[in-house]
Amino acid sequence: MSSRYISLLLCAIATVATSAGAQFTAAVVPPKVKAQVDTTARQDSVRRATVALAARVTDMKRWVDSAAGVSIPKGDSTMTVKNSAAAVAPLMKDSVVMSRNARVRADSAASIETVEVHDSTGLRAPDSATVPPPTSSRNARGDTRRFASGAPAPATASLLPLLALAGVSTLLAGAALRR
Amino acid sequence: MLYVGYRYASGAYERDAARTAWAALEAHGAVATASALVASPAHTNYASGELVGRLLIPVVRLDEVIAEGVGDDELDAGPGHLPGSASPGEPGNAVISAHRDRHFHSLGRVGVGDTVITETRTLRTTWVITGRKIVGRYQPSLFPSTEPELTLTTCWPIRYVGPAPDRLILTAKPLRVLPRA
Repeated sequence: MSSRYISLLLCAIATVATSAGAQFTAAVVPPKVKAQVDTTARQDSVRRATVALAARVTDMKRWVDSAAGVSIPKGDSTMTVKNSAAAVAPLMKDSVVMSRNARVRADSAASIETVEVHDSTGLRAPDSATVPPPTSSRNARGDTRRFASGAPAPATASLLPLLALAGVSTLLAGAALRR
Repeated sequence: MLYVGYRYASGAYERDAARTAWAALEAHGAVATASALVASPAHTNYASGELVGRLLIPVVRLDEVIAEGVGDDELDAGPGHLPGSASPGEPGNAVISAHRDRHFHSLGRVGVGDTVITETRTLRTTWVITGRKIVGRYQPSLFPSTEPELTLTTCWPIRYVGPAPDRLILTAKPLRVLPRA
């Protein structure tokens, strides 16, 4: 009697498990929907990265112009930053902190979208003592073999003294090892 | 060591060859035939490698022949005249550069007030050093001038092992400019 009940019980359990498995199968989110969610998330991240890049480019341009003494037209609608220090937001750090108020505005002059950013990072303006002016950076590594206004001195650095010292040191070391 | 010895030896050989060539130019009266250039307001242009003149700094007993160009080959033989700069003695900034481990090894001892003499095929100019400064290798240091001016450059520090990071800039104003005839 008890074995009969046990066998019935086992059959019932097996049946329930089978149906339960079917239920679980039906309850799992189809892969197609999950891929859509992942794609959307990926697109959003790409869009955010693009917007961040556009912001960096715009800020970089403004920083270079300001450092070069180019007057930035007032009422420039491309940037609406309030903080003057933030207007020349340095790109010392790799990450750009995007304000929650960032808007994307299509820029007809460039293929990338210009982002109006309210920079609240409080980053310092570049230190003029450490950052060379654009004019020197233009000629800094240019052709030093021809005279030009504002050019650096000709490259007369020579490695021969260093090579000579290395050679002499090697010879002395070899002579010492032979002893 | 062999390479270093070869470079120094070839530089010394070319230096002697430049001195000989310059002496030959003067001996054959090339100076006299070129005196017509004195009347010409045109800026003297030199071909690459062409002998420009002679540089003398009595205080350090420097006597070198200047060639056109500041490339490795030209600077191996002697001081080089920077192409595009004025000829020594003519209106404009004449720039002469050389290696600190060779022809300008004593330039560090030249100071303000010292005399420099340049001789080209047309002019003999006596200069006085008016400025001496150390600048970074990429720092703008050469500027045009409407008046005759001489700029001597070399690497700094003079005794530095490896590529020297700075440049020694000496500027000079003319005391006398005499045509060579």
